[in-house]
Amino acid sequence: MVVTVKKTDPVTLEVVSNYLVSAVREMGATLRRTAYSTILRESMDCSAALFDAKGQLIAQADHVPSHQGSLAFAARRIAETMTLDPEDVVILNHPYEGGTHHPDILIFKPIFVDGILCALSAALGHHIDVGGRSPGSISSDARDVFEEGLIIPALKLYRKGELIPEILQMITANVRVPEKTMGDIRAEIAAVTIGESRYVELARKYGRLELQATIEVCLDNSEQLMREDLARLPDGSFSATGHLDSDGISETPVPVTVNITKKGSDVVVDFSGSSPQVEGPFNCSLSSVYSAVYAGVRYMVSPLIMQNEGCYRPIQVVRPEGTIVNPRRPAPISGRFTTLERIADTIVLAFNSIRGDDQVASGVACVCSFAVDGVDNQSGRPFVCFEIFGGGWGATEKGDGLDASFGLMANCYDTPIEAVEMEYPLRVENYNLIADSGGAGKYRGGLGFYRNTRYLAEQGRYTNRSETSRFPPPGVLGGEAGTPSSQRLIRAGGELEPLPSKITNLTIRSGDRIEMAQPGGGGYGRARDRDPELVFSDWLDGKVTSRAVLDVYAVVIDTDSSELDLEATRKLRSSLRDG
Amino acid sequence: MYIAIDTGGTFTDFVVSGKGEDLLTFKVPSTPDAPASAVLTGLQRLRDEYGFSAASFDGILFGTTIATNAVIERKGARTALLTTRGTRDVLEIQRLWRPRLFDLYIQKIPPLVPRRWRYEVDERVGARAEIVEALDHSSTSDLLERLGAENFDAVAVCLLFAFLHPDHEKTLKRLLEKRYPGIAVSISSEISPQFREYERSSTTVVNAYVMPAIRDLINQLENGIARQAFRASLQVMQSNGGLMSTVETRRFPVRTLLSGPAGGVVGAVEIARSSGLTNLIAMDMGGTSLDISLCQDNQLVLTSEGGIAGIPVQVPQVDVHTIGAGGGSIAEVVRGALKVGPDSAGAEPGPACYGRGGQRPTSTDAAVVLGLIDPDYFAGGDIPLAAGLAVTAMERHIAVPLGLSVVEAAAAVVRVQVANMVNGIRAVSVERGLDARSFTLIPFGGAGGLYAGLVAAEMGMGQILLPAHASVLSAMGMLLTGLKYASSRTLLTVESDARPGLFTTVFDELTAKVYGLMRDEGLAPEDVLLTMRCDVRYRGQAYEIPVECGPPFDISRIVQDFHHQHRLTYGHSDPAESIEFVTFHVVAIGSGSRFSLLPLKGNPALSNDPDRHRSIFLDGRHLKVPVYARDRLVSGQRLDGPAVVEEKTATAMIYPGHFATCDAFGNLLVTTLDGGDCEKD
Repeated sequence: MVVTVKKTDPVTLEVVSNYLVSAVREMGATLRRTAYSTILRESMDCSAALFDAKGQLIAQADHVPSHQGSLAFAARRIAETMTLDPEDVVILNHPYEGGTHHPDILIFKPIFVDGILCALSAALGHHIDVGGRSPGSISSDARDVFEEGLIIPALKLYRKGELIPEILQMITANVRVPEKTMGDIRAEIAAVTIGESRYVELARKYGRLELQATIEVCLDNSEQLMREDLARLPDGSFSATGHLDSDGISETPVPVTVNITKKGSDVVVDFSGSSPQVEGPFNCSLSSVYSAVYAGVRYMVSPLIMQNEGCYRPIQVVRPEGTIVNPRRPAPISGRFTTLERIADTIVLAFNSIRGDDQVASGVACVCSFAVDGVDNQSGRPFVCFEIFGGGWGATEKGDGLDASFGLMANCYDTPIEAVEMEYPLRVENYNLIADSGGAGKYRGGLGFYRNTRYLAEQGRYTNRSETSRFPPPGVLGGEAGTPSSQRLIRAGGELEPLPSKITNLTIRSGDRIEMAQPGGGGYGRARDRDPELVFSDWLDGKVTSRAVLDVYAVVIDTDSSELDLEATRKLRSSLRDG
Repeated sequence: MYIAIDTGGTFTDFVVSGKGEDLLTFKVPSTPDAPASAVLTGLQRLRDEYGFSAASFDGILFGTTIATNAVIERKGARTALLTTRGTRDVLEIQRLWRPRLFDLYIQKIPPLVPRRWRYEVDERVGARAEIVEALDHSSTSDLLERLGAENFDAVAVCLLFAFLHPDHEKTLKRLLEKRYPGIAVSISSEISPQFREYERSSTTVVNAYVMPAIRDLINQLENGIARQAFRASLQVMQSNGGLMSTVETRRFPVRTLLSGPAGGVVGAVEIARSSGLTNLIAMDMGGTSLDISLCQDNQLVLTSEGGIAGIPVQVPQVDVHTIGAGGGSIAEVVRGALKVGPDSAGAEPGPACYGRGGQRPTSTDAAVVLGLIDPDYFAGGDIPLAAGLAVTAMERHIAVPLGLSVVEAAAAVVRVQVANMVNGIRAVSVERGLDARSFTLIPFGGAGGLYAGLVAAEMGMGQILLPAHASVLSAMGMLLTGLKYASSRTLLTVESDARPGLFTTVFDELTAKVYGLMRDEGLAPEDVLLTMRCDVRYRGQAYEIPVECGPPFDISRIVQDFHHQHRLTYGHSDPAESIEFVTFHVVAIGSGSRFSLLPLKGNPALSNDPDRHRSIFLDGRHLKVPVYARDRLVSGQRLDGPAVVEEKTATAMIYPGHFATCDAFGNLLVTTLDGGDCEKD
């Protein structure tokens, strides 16, 4: 059938694309506002998106970069392999069949207009626990996917509007806090239902075929804008290698290598030279690798381009089989966020070689996940607390790195201290920035921060998947590295236990205090070129110490009068240059 | 009689309303460096020039931008923040979140209180309102002494779980006020008693940061008003669309952040309602900025998750989007491109044509050059404009660098200004998935009517309502609303424990509180409209849905309403799940409306012909355009574009191809060439 569609007018194009973005934002807001677990309702570790019937991304809410692109693999798989009816709802988390890692449960709802399948409405929620060997379902030492939690292949949770209760019963029987899991699944269903309504409204208003044609134009537009920006960068082939601290089982560092060829408006990212697949759970599922590559390249172009399938068209990925980016089943994958943060950071570092002075230092490059369980003394109910943290960003040609944020691949919120304590028998005793943690430079790296938590239940297990403890984020153009992450446990009796960056099921007891120091970002340019006024201001704010002011930045401050001595600073810097 | 006074960036508007009489309106140049001065000057004029007796007024209603400006320009008080030990940086960490993806250069908004002025207190309250660690008296008194060295004007206090157990905050407040008499202290348990420490700190800090300036202003005004022998009490417009007493204003200045815009939105909604329109985009163009808000179904849209300049502020406020596009927006050529705003010449020196030393051309200067504004009839002739200065500035800064004639340069400035305004309208409409073409544009402020036709054409909007008294709509909004107080209490109650008696007790307590506040302003309970609601959620959720309720309290009906609302809002409900009642609210609105619009006193013989003609540069050529005096239009009169409609304090333009019809109250309904699928009344 040949359909003639009148040329899309620019106003309609703008209205439709903005409507789609606002629809996915509304889906995200619904998810957050109706969710039960703190990881969804406070941290917003979730995403919402709309796909066309072929599984091409139409629009996605600005939540978590790692989810950008990764939902598409599940959408495509569902579009290609399942026969869908109106009012079906599909659930899955299978990391080798479209999912990301076990805790991310994906919900899809097909959207029919005039009886024709037009689109898919999708939600991804990180669930607080989906069973497996450790509370929170992100261990640091699983050896296959079966240890990591319940695996749900793409199943219909609703058939033509009718719930299949056995599926929920199956899930309930396999997770540690089923009331949270069930509440959060309901929130995801609410979100995809909103997405469905909004798409149908739009189709009613503009006509099904006109809408689809307009959406095609939206995708082409994003592709064109991506290509215009990419074409402005010089052509070339360049590589970089980053390292994970370990695979959680052995202490051997794990290299991640990217070889990038940029020609015209096309980019190929080849992972040859990266580590073979590892024994521990730091292998990367297919969709995660792509999302990291997409994000890494996206950081090279305007942030304002509308996020959809068109953005991915200029990008190709080469993933040698049997490596950390293309593991063979059933290699474990639940810690893959660590790897994909490392991939994105390494891509940005690789691009530095063609960016002249406009270089970017390395940043936190991980999402630290913190999980404890136990029984709440007050309510007598079991609990699982799961929180995520970042660190400082790398400095750039334009200024200091961001203090205390998530890495390149995440953009969640912290869980407020008050939300943590109202929900769990825990007390957060320190949540402050760390002085001198940002790599020194003309522009300094962003600061890391402390998060110290005291455990108040009787006894439980502690699991942490952290990173950046052995390879601190390097600076660029003479900038210094940020501080690495570190953590330790102070027992109720006062004994101190240093901890590696990856821990699984360590027994903790009432009164124990877990202290985490999150990493700082790398610096840009030489510290002695930093404007003394900026150093002075940082000193007044306690972001750099007196020692660093003098020894690293070569700035003289009269600490008695708290005044900056510009003349002495000039002399000191000049004598250091001459010496 | 009542006086409403709205302070804008450039002018302070005065509207006087008496029963059955036409409104009296006039403008006084604002005095940003001494905000009370313009107000007192206007009151003086009211007596000296207009011959009113000070004793004849029943109330003075006041809208202020002082808090807003202090935050936006970061010129608030030197403020300290006291926090629980271990949480000094919560204000700066900002929940780790960043407002945009895929931007390597992104920066967070610097906190209003820098790290050097944030102090930790040795104390801790737990999540069950228990004291984990009592406030340590010796370290607290040491800290209080140390604060002295920094000469703070204000102190904000935000301690963990103070919303459950406020004693430590209250003690600190008492100690601070005793040790430093006159210092402005804001504690989180009073300003924003709800969980999530970052958002609560942020709100408390803003309150402290603007408090000294508001206190000074209110003191000066009250003294000045008394000196001029006015006996009427002063009430201040709040961000939520209602008024409050000066006592409350001194305590909660954070509630005035959107004082002016809230008045405008109330005014626009009421005018639209009287014209039978329900969906509107209101566009308030002042000297420095453009405030845009969208209202559907005649409802004031309030948000509690708003903020200002990227800083979260958790008090209910009208949902307004502000951009730097006002009459005073400065035009300049930057690297070959023409930019207009966001910098503004403000009231001082003002546009070049004011002749107060402004050298740089503004959009007002462009309008003068093009003939859109009559230099001899600006603000009704109160402010004579020097057209020659506008031409000189436009020539030197725009025409010469761009190689254009002066009128072409002015037309280009208008084009860029309109594009900026269109982007602002997009942000509240299409970017939220709402098609602007099905809304009526309501421009107000002195210059809104000049550009509305161009903006509507660009957006494809079919209809514009040019309200009567457009330049003082914000002040009119204050006359159309009443005192508004809310009182709430968080009392987490699960469904199975809820009893009607509990609801009665809590709501009685809250009602007594708001009645007390109303009584302080002379309002008896029968003059007050109460609404009661309870925020409800499923057990385990963190966000609630407000459910209206009232005596006699029927728990099962409230529960049913919640399930119903949840389904309406989110598309699903779970009647089998247990629910919990979280926060109880009473909102009290004092009987408001202090005037009603009077129909035009029509005299058809007078009108229909234009007053005069003037030459305006439109679409690349000079046209002879008829000019109509707004106060001489009659009901039902039709004006075909091009035409100018002038009133004392505002000028509106009907563009070629558009036509306007005057309604019974003097509002002009403009139909544009592009006539979209807009509702017709």
